[in-house]
Amino acid sequence: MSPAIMLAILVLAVIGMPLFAVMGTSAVVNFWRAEIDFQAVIIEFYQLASKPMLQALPLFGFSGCLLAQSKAPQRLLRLSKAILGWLPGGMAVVCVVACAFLTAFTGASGITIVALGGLLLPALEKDGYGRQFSLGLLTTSGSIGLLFPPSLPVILYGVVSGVSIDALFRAGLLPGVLLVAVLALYGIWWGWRRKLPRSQFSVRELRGALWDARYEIPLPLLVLGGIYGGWLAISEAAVVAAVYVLIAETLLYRDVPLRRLGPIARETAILTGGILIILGMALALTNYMIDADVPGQLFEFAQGRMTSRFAFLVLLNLFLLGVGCMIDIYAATVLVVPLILPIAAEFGVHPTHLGVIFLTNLAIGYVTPPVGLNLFIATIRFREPILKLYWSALPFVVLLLIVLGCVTYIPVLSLFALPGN
Amino acid sequence: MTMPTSEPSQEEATESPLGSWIRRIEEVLFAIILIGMMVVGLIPVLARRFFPVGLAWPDPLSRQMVLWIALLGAGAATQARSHIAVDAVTHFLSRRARSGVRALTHFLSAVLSGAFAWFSVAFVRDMAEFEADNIAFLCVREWWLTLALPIGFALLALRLAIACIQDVRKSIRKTVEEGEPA
Repeated sequence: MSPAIMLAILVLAVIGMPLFAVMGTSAVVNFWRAEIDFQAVIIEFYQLASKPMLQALPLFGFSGCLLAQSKAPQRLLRLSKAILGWLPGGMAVVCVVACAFLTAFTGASGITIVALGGLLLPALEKDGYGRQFSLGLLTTSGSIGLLFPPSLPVILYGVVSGVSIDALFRAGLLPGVLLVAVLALYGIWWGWRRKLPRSQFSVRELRGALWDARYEIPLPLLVLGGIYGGWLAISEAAVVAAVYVLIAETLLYRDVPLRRLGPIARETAILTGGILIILGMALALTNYMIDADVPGQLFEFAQGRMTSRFAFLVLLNLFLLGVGCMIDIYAATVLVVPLILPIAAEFGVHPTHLGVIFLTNLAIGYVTPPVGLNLFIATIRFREPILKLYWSALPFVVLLLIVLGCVTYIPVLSLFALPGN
Repeated sequence: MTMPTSEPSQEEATESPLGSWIRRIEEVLFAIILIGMMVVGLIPVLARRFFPVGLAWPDPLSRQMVLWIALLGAGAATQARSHIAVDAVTHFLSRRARSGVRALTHFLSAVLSGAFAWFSVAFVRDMAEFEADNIAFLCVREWWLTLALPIGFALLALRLAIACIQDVRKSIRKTVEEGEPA
C-alpha cells in the first residue's frame, strides 16, 4: 500500500469508522492494487461459514449475557463471601474471585464491571476498604478471568492462530491463577494491615449459599470438566452450557421471563456479530498480507534490530500493551496474531505460550492508563472522573505487570500443563 | 472505543415506531437462530451417546447460522451504535462536529457494505452457474447458502445508510438547539 492510502485508512480508523469497515476498505484497496478479482474478498469472508469452533462464540456469548441478566451475579457473590469472607481482606478476595469467574463466562467486555460493580463497590466501602482502593480493585478485577474456560478471547485466539483451544486453556490455567492470586494477596495484605472487619465463617450461611446456587454450581463443573476432561469439544461444551443456562435461569430459577429472551438474544448477536464480522474482514485482509509476505518483511525488519528471543519478548510485551489499550481484544486478536505468529516462531516462542502472553498482555491493556477500555466503562459505571481511576488502578496494574513478566519470561509456567511436557 | 454492551432501555427510548418494529423482529429472529444452534448442536452430542454413527449435517448447518449472526448482528450493532471502533478523537469534538464525523464514517461504511453486497451477487451467480449441483448437506445446495452474503451485506448497508442520515439530522438539529436558551 502506498503511504498516502495507508494514512487515509489510518485517519478513518482514528475518527471512529467501525473497524470491520476499516479492514474491509484495506482489503478492497489491496486486492484492487494487486489486480485480483473482488470476488476473492467475498470468498475469503465466506470462510466464516466453514471455520470450525466458531459456533462457540455466539453460544458462550449467549450464556454470558443470560447469566449477567439473571440473579446469578448475586448468588455468585453470596457463595464467594460464604467461602472466602472470613479471610483477612475477605471482601477484596471475594471481589477478585467473583469477578474472575464472571469474566471467564462473559468474555472481558466490561460486562463484569457493569453486572458486579454496583453490588461490590458499596460492599467494599462498607467494610472500610476506601474508595480509591475499591475502585482500583474492581476496575482491574474486570479483566483477569479471561484465561479461564470458557473465555471467548481464548477461543478466538485458537480459531485465528490454529493452536488447539484445549491446549490454550490448559496453558492459561496457572498464569490465570497467578493473576487472581496476586490481586487477592494484595487485598489480604491491605485488609490485614488496616485490621478491617472479617465476617465469621458460618456453616449455616455456606449451606444457604450453596442451596441458593444449586442450579448454577453444576455449570462450571460441566464446562471445566467437559473441556479439561476432554469429553466435550469446545463447540459442544458451548451448546451444553447454553442449553443448561437457558433451562436454569428461565425454568428452574425463573429469574428471566421468557419474553426477555428476545432482547438477550439480540444483545448476544450485537456482541458476537460485531466480533465475527471483523473476523470475516480479517480473513480477507490477512490472507492478502500473507500472500504479500508481510510477516516475512516484518521479521526481517525485526531481526535487524533484535538479536535475541529475550529482546523480542520485551518488545512484544511493550507493543501488545500499547495495542491492548488502544483496540479491543477481539479486534487485536484477528489483526495482530497472524502477523506475530510467524515472527514468534522464528524466535522459538511456542505458539501456545505466545497465546498466553498475548492474552495476558491484552487483559492488562484493558486497565492500563490512559486509554484502557475498562477505565472508561468504570468511569461511566461508578460516576468517577477518569483521572481518579488512573490513580486507583495504578498499583494494581503494576502488580499485574509483574505477573506478565513472569508469564512471558518463564515459559514453563504455561507449557508444563501441555501433554508431552 | 465503543462499549459492546448496549443499554436497551436507552436505545428503546429514542427509536421511531418503525425502528421499534425492526428491533422486535430482530429479537425474535436472533432468539430463533440461537435456539436453533442449541438444538442442532445437541443432536450430535446426544446421538453419539445412543448410536455409534456420526451425523454429517448438524455441524455445517450450525456454521451457516454463525454467518447469519455475523451479518445480521453487525446490522443490529449499527443500530445500537456499538460497533467495535478505535475512535480516539471524537471524544474531544463538540457534539455537532461529532455527529458530522459519524455521518461521514457511516456513509463510507455503507458504501463499503454496498460494494460487498455487489461482489457477493457475482459470487452467488458463479456458484449457481458452475457449482449448481454441489450439495452442502442433506438436500441443501451449496449456492443457496451463499445467498446469505448479498442479503446480509445489503441489509447492513441499509442500516449504515440510515445511521448516516440520523447523524446528519442530529448534526443539523443540534445547531438549532445550541442556539436556543437552555
